Amino acid sequence: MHFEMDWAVLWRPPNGDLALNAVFTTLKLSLVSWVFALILGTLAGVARDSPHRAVRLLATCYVEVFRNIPLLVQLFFAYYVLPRLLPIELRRELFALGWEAISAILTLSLYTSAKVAEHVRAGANAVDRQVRWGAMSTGLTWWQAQRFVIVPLFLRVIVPSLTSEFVTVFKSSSVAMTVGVVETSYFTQELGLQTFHWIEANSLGTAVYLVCAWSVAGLMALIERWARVPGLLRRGAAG
Amino acid sequence: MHDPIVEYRQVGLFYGGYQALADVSETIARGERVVVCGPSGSGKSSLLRCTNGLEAFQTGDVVVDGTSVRNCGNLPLLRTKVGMVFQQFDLYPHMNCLQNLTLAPIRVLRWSRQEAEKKARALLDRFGILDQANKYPAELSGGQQQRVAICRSLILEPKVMMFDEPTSALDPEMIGEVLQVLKDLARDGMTMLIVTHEMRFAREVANKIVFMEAGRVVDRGSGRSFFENPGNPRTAQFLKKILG
Repeated sequence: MHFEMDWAVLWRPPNGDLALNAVFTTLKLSLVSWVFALILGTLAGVARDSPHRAVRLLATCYVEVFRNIPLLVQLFFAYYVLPRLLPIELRRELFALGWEAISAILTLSLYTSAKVAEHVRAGANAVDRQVRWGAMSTGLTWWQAQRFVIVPLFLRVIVPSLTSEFVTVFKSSSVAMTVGVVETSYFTQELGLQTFHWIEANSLGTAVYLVCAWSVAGLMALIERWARVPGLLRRGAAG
Repeated sequence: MHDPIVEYRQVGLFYGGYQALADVSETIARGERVVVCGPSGSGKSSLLRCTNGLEAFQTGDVVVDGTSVRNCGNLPLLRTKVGMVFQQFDLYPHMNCLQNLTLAPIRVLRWSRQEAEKKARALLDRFGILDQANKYPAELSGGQQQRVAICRSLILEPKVMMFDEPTSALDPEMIGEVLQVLKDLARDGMTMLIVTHEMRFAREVANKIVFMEAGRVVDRGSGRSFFENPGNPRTAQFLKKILG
């Protein structure tokens, strides 16, 4: 076996621009999905503890559906099946808008939000019900107590578990290649196929995901430090 | 017994099949200081939580300042009239003392931030903890935390204050400073409902003592007579154990 290594294949025009575009697409898919997942997941997680039975039930169904179907199956459903349920004009409209990327973001957001919701629920359970009573005894409504006291408290508690979900979003975004989104994995496979420089191409992919993961971990460590409650050093949990 | 501020009317509370309160009827008059005592699990804390609707009782009713808790359209507003202080202080650990005090006035009573902070500082000053205003709960001693928690209730200008074993989680040397705050409030005429095992304090401060067991009020008496001539043998036994 003889390999002729040629790292320049990664930046030789037009590959350099294509690679940058692909990496940028990975970042876009992941970050947008993460923002949605965080918002939806927090809402769903808090709703699972709602005083209203119907709200609890709805939130539980949401989590159990989106958490338990493989990401790839959800993506295929969103990409291939969902548009067929719509009128033809609307379907054309969707694909003109770039349904590949949108369906990937939609799926990643929903899937990740269900997992975030589980962390949120665990965090909310970790906050003593006494603190909630304390808040509500001063006249705050259930919703205000959640918003000003419970959520800010447990978000601090669950930062470490959210970090790993955040990293997972970057890695999972690679499934978008299966519906034709030219993100990092798509690009490296394509480059390998065209140039047979598989080692160089896959090294690039590996490096991109690693750098993303490390950046996320660093960012979350900063957030953890910034949100630390004075006097609660190293004890982590509330109270 | 005129001018009642809190009336319990045959309050019954169940946790599943377990009956926590059974037909509790009691009246607290304005300006009265009632101490509730009794063994653990007798329903003392549950009774307090029913008073401001934190616990949804199944039978009977509680009437606070003329408003039925059962049919209350605005429980949050009613709760601002009933201050509540807990054993574990239950301050918001991620907020400093000032923020702990001003959250409810700003969000529930819609005071301006300046107004709320001014009143908060005045209260902290009154209880000797103004210098802690910008500290976080975990940076304070237990006694200081409990005083902040008392201020958090007082800032809403409640008509009655409830204390659920306010000194049980404190080191012995801090119990005194918190009891002193309670005595000061009593002297100023605050209506108080206090669950405590501090019998010397109860004797000194209470107009009325209520003894509970197994979810029922089994004995009551006016401050001194309760201790000197406990009518009920169960009360006598409890007092003997607790007073030694």
